Amino acid sequence: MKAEEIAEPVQDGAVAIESPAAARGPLAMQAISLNKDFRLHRGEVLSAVRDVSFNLYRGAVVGLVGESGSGKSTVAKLLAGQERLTSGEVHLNGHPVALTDRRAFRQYKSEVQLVFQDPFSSLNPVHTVRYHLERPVKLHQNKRSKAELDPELTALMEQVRLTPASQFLAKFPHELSGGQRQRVSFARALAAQPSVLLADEPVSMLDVSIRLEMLNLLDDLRERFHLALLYITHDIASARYFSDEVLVMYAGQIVERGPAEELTQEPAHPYTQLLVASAPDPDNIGSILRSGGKRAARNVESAPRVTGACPFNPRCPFAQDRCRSEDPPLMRISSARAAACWRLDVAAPQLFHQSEGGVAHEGLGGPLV
Amino acid sequence: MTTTAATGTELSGSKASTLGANGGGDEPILDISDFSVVYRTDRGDVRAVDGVNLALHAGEVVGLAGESGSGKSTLAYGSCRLLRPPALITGGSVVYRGRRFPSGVEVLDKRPEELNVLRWREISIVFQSAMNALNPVLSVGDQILDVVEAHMKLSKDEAVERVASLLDFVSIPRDRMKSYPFELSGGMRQRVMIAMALATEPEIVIMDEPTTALDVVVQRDILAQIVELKERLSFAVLFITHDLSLLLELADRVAVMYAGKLVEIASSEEIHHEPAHPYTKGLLNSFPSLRGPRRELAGIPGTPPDLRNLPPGCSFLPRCPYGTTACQDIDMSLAKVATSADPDHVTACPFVLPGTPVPPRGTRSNGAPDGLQPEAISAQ
Amino acid sequence: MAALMVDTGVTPPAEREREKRERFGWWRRLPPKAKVGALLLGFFVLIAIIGPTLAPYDPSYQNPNPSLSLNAPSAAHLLGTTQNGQDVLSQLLTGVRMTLELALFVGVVATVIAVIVGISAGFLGGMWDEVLSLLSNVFLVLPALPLLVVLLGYLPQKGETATILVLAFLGWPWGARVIRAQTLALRNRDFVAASRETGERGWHIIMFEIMPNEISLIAASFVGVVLYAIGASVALAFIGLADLNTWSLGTMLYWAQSDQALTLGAWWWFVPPGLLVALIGTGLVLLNFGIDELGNPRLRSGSGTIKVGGRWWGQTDPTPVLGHSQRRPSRVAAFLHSFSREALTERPTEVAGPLP
Repeated sequence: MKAEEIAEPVQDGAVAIESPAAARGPLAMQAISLNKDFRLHRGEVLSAVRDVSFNLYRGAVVGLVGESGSGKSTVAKLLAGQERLTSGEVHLNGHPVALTDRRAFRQYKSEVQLVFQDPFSSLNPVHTVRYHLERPVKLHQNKRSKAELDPELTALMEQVRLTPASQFLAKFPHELSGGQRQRVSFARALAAQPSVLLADEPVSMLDVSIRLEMLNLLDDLRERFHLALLYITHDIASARYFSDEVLVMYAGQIVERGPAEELTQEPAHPYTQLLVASAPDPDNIGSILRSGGKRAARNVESAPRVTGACPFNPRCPFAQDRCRSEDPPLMRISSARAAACWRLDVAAPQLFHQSEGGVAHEGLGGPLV
Repeated sequence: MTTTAATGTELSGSKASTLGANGGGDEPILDISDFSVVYRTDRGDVRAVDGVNLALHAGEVVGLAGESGSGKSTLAYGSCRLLRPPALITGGSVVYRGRRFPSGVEVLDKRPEELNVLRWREISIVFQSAMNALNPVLSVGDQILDVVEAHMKLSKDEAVERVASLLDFVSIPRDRMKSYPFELSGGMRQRVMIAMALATEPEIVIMDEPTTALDVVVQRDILAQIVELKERLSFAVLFITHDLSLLLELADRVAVMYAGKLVEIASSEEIHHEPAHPYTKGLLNSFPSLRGPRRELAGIPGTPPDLRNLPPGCSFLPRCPYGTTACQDIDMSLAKVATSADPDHVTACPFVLPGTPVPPRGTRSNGAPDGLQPEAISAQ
Repeated sequence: MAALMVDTGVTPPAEREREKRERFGWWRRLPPKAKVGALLLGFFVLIAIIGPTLAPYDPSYQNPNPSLSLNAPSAAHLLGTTQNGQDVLSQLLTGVRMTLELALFVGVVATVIAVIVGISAGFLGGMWDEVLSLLSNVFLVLPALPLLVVLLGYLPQKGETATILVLAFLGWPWGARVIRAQTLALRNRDFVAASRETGERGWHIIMFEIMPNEISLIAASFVGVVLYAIGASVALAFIGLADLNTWSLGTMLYWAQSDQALTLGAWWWFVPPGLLVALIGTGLVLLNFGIDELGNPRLRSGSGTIKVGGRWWGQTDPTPVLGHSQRRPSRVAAFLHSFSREALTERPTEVAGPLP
């Protein structure tokens, strides 16, 4: 049986797939067919983001996984309003977002906040921690006097566990460690009292030993403030632990999506499989790093993007003629999972044997474990 | 060829005693003992590396793990005397014993001009940021050629041929010789760096987080390449990284560094399954794994200490879940782990054994603020 | 400095020591060049402020006594007199004020223009950047001094204000270019995006996020313009394009030249103003270097060296080792060493083989 006979194309990714994140809380933000083109030199156009759709729910974490250049940071900037959409729509609490003027933008910013990747560059070196937190409190909570500000700042610092607050508030960014700076970044985003938090690789610049603590903090904040959280990362293992739903992005498109545990344990798309296979694994006894021998087929880095073909086909071991001539849409595998691949029947046969055996064609739903 | 010889701890500072120390006759190719480096500042010395013993054997991959500021890069660069002022080596010995130097060379005794013989020809380095280490206005072929011509006596044609075969080694098409660094992808640039480091057939290659800036897929590809080249050219690797999970798969032995001191050395198997030092345990419990059942992860709370002002006794005490007042009196010297099957497994913690359970919260006696207690990630 | 205090043996209480260090810390952290420059300039600014009141005579008073014409320095006239019997010291003390005042005004006006043009070009980008960059490039290539001469020659009155405006008009583009480049670099830093994330307005981002990061650059550009203004104003006055009824270092030189002080051998007339111009210039240049070093610590010549074993180790030396004698041996010792047994192990025993 061919893949497209089993898996039906997803018409509108945001609607047809039951996101596992939906169980956590109400819908907060919808990204509908986001597209972003960048004009390069000599009139070339780079489609950084192509037809990306997903939903964010209050209290839930959606993980967006991809390599550098896959467009995952551009998605965050589009949602944050830092970049203009080429086409597509963003809905916040059911209403389309129109950032027509400064007032609308500031209004939007008190709902949606972005946390940057690099804590060494996202804080202004000439200002103290106090300044960084005071501004959003003044702008978004309209607390101006010192008597109003001080308790609020102290509360913020305690929420990100930078205590004693008075001591840290007086410091400059260069006096803080990377982890402490990123805590300040979190506090600054929280000061606007948002409902949606977009975290663009929030821990990738930090030491491994500190990452977990920061992710725990972020998770704690999500729970306490019932935030809808988009967690962008290149580390699929952390997305497994930290997210409800995982979206895998490649060359500007979402190539696979599904519940975190299912997707990481039984990846369907060849790219997701490659990502999972590449993660360091101490338990991997037969690791190519140990045998010191033959490598797998050489991976093509940075192949030029061709429209009208599967973007992964130059690196894909299952690529066929169809993959080189037609770009696969996201196709439903189960009620909560979808992948964009013509050759799912070969790439992930186990997912199909199960569905053939038990579940009817339309209702592919049910956990696939 | 995995070698198991005496670990650094059993070696005393002098050359003479190490010569006859091991009956196996397997001398380490690089023998660092009691090695200390400080950074001189107006506000006092920063003790970046403090009395470290580490041995690297021929053809071996030793991983050096630790968080930023733990002194792992200072140790590696300092042992080749590549650090710039205000760095100052305050003591110890570094003996290099390569094929061309069978009786051993004391690196710390060398005068500046004598060190040039060792550098690159014997010990080379792959830097973390290839973009910064490569010259942007020279083609990559010319840059490798420079290294070859500076350190080997070859004719022009032979040198060019050698550059081409080096690029073959690292799977870069020969026509890329004329490319400039900015025309290459991050992974390709890092491969060029590796080709450059191997240009003169060194016996030791120091790799300072060579893949940290790269994507996982490319990272794995390059690591596999390094391992493959190591098998063919049989050089020893000192691999520096903050990612312990990577080392467990890649390295023969792993040395864990904390606040300028080595806290545990063992084979990667031992580190993985029988970690003895609380810091190593914390590191192992810090990274989420893709495979196997979901574990409870704890991480390491708190921040590394100020190297200017270390706490008395064990420097990990403020962050240690096992800490007791007795820890303030230990000197953090490495001792053999009694229960371990590996005779070379050493740890700086005299109290905690591989199997010791973590004491429940709140029973700690070292007075860390409660907000810094370890917490388990909530399994969803 | 700290070492000096310890050497005297009188160690003040640690508390007072720390207080002192905090109060004067900023001064001690200044690079030596900046310190010398600041002291030199401070001295001249002091003269500019109190100079006219210190002047023993009216600088314009022409002593009718012919015996007092062109007198060499004496007790009554410490720097001698001019051909008209005017006291040179008094002229000098009065003239410094005028010269510095003018240069300061030019510095302020030109720097304000440079900051406005540079930051708008860098921050707004696009069309604005094109137009403003073109404008500053055009001004940059204008031959300044000839244009000054022409402009001032045609202006109806040759007062101080006219000179200030013309000098400022021609002095801003260098600073604008540098500030634009820095703004371009800063604009793409995450903290600018982060403050937009907070919802800050554009002008707030310029004033409070970008400009504070350019303070050392703006200061250096200000000092540079002041230096240029002193040079240009003295040169203009020297060729007579200034109000010759006032006293500045430039007009002093003009009168000295027109009254043939050089041919008459009256060195006390032209050397002091010339020397003062040179000293003020030196002070400004040193201050400028110092500010550069403050903004970019890598420029500091002292940093990156360490003294070990009686030798300075620099950036290109290997890491020094404490306690090992690593002084370069004499040529004779090196020659003798080459015969020793150890020397054999220091050289490779085999040459490079082919790649496997």
